[in-house]
Amino acid sequence: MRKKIKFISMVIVIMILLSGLSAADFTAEQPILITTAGQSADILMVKLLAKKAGLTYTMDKLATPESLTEFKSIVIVSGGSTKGLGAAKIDKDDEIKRVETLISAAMDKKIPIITMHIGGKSRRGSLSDEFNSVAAQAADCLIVVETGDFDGYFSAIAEENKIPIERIDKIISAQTVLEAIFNPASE
Amino acid sequence: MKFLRQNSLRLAILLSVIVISIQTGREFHQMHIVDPIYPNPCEIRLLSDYFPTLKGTAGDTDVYLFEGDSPGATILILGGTHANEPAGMIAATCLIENISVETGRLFILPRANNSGFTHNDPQEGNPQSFTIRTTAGERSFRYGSRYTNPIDQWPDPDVYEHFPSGQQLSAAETRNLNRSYPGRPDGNLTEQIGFGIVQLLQKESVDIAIDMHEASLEYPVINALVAHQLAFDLAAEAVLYLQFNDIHFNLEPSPEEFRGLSHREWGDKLGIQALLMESANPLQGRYHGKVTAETVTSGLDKYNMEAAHSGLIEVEYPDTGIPLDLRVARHLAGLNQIFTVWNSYNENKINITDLPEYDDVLEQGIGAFLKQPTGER
Amino acid sequence: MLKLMYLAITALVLVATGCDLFSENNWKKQLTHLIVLIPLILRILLIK
Repeated sequence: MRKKIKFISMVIVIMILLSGLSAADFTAEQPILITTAGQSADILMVKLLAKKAGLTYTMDKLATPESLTEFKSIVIVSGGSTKGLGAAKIDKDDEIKRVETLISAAMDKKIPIITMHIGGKSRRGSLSDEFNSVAAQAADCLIVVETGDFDGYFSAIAEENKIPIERIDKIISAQTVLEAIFNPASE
Repeated sequence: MKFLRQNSLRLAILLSVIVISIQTGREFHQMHIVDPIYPNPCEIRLLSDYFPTLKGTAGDTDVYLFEGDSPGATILILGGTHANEPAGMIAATCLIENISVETGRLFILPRANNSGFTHNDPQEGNPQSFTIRTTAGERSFRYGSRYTNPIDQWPDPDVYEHFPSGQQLSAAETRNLNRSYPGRPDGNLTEQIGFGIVQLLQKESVDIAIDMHEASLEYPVINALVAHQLAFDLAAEAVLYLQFNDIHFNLEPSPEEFRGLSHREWGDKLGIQALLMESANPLQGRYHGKVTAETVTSGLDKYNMEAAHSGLIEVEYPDTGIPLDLRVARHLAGLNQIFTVWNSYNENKINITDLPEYDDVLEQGIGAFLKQPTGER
Repeated sequence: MLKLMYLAITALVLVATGCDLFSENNWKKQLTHLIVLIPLILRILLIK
């Protein structure tokens, strides 16, 4: 009898653990604040995907804690761009500070954070990884294009922090993932 | 005879000088002969038709107009803004020699800065030309300079001050067409060329303008589609669908503070959708080795290979190099996708037939899409 | 030896000026080069 109880408890624990690691079970509510960590133009593609998915969202590349009042989730599109930082008139250190402050405020308000890295290998490297690290470690869910995880960078962060991660082969596949997260009833 | 004997060395020197000078002078003059392009049926205009001051100058250049039977969108494509970035000029040439337009109008300038094709950058040791093998014989194309020829525009100021913003750049940039926009009618030759192109954009009410370039492998903006903010949505969707077809482009915003560039000034001044594409050219930048006619087309450079292994460059550099075929194919694929996205959202469409496909160019080589040296298919 | 070096250097400058002369596309600039060429040619002919 004891053996049976032990076995069943182990199965239940394993099932809970496995379900926690799958992004497919992660859901969040709208409206969504879409912002960037690193000011890469990849945010424009996520905005487009959100539009195609029929989601209710606002894009704000320079979102601050004050921006959070009306939103139920945040999507952070991570990846650095020198052109993007220049266009936004913000330097790297100020951008990291902005993102960290925003993340902290979101956590205080218990607003879930979905971090997306869709730029692939070209949005990795010394500049991008400073932003990727901040945004990925704080995520409640990670969506990553496979080529950007070529060295297991995001996988390692996900495993260490017990964050569900969805790896996609192409950016456009993120639309389906977003639909599943924000419109689970439609799946 | 005594005079000849006594002065044989002097006379030999003078004779050698004359022979060398004439020969090299002729070689320089060859650079002014425009490489032939064999267009499909279209109208050929000159940039001076839009800005007569350019007539008879080295800044005047051919404008190829393909017009469909039905009205639609008007597009401008620029190649050869920088004559040492061959993919843009060759992609434009491929278009001119292959396409026809059913709806809308397409303006193509294969040598936007014509003066840049008449010389090479000093101290770079670049070849004056390279060849592409067609289905019957080789065609030669000029390999030029990033800048207007100093014999056409001289001297450079100590510091280049952009009109009208006053932005200051290094002296040579005064001869860089892609720092001259919006140009001015009474400026230097490069500013006049920029002004002429802006006049074309304005008078023809162009909807989308695309400038084709290449960049060195260590440059952060590479394999990219750079978009003015008015063209963000168009560019984002184009990049999305290109990636769907396994053609990776980075999407980059046009910096609002960096003045003089095509994607900035065309959008700001004219409110049009302004875009710029960069492909990766291993023969630009500071890492590359000797540039020869062969390496221009093969894109194979051992020093960039070493730089790649050391993690010093921004793109993947396979052992097969980044050949001109691939770079041209990328430009053509980018154009195709931009037009497709435009058409899906706009009533005024652009319909082009026989635009060479990415996979076909990679498989057959660009030479298969260029006409033979005789001008025949 | 010194005379040979002197001739060689003058010849080099002559070649550079001569190349420029034949590659210029403007007659005024070509005239300028021609004016510079004359003393150089004379140097070659007259050096002792």
